[in-house]
Amino acid sequence: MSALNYPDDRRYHAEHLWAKEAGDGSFVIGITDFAQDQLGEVIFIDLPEAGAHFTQGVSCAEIESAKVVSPAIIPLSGTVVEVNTALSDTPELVNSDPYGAGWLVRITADDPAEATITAAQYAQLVSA
Amino acid sequence: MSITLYTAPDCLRCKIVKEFLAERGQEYTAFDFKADKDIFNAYYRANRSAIYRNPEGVEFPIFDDGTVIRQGTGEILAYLLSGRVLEACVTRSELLHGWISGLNVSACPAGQEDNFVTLVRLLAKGGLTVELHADGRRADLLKRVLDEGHVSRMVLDVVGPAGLYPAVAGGELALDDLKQSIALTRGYKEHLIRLVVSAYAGEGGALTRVTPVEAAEAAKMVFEACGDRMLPVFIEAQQVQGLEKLEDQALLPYRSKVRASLVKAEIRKPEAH
Repeated sequence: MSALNYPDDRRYHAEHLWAKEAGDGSFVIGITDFAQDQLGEVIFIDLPEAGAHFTQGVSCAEIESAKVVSPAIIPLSGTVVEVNTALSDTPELVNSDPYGAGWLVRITADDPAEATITAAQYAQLVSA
Repeated sequence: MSITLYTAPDCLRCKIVKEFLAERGQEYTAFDFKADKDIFNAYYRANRSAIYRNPEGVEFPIFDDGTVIRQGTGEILAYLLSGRVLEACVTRSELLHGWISGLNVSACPAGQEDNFVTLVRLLAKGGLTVELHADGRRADLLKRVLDEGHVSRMVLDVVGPAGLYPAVAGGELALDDLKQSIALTRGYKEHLIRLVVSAYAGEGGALTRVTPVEAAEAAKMVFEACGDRMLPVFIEAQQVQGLEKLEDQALLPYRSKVRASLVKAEIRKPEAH
């Protein structure tokens, strides 16, 4: 199995999600390579509605594989402005491209400076 | 009606259903959730709300004949043997890892005895370890099933005093039946006798529980049926949605009442296998 990958162009949360600034001040949210590897083949994702607000550390979506149902813990507090509708027919994008086409939601952050961890810190956490 | 099975690799429960269908010459299409993942995933998404997940994930096999979706080897075979008639006595197995439960011999409808015996035999011969439940009714059928030797563990659940049986279990309890059931259970190599603090729909339909006084009546009934104050029995509360959990301290009043008749009664925590 190839080594799991944690790009350092984004911020991380210990509960296995990442947040990346989209360029317009909003943040794209997704799960890490480690998380998708643990989940196995994703078969369904229950995504929130646009407009929903979540506080850092709570679940914003449920990700289902044949083995487990796992909450997606949002890494930054904010309001959902867009969800990845491609996941309704192709949830496996989360496995094949967790940092790209497999993103979950895009949010406007309440506080873009809210504490998160770096790629290196996250990598250390999951290798411990 | 075409039958579709969704299965997992190396799944004993799936193999049992496939073999049964093959034996009966019933055609079916099977998809493996890994090998045929696109088909399974699309099916899962379309039917997700009807699909049950046990603590370890989606329960395989999933059986779909276009009319019903069934999961659990016991429930699927029961459906194939007799449609919905066996639903009362074959329910979801709470046991995993090669065990199967959810089989209540006492709830078997009249006329379905052969099918029930066949079902237990199929499950055991297929390689599953069978836990059988009874509630004191249908000692005749209990004897027949136990005599076949396919049951690994026998659990007798006394669900309340005789007067509550129609409300709790859906049928009358004859004391002679209870007496025989206790004797059959005690004679079985691995067995457990429980006094269940049952939850049931009481008068007006509101969910209610067997009270300590009623549990004492049930214990007295058990004592009268077996004549043995030292009978090891375990008090266990049936936990249901809509009623507060009943455990530990809250069960002490039950134990003291029950011990008036059965001195070795102990509180038992539900366990996973």
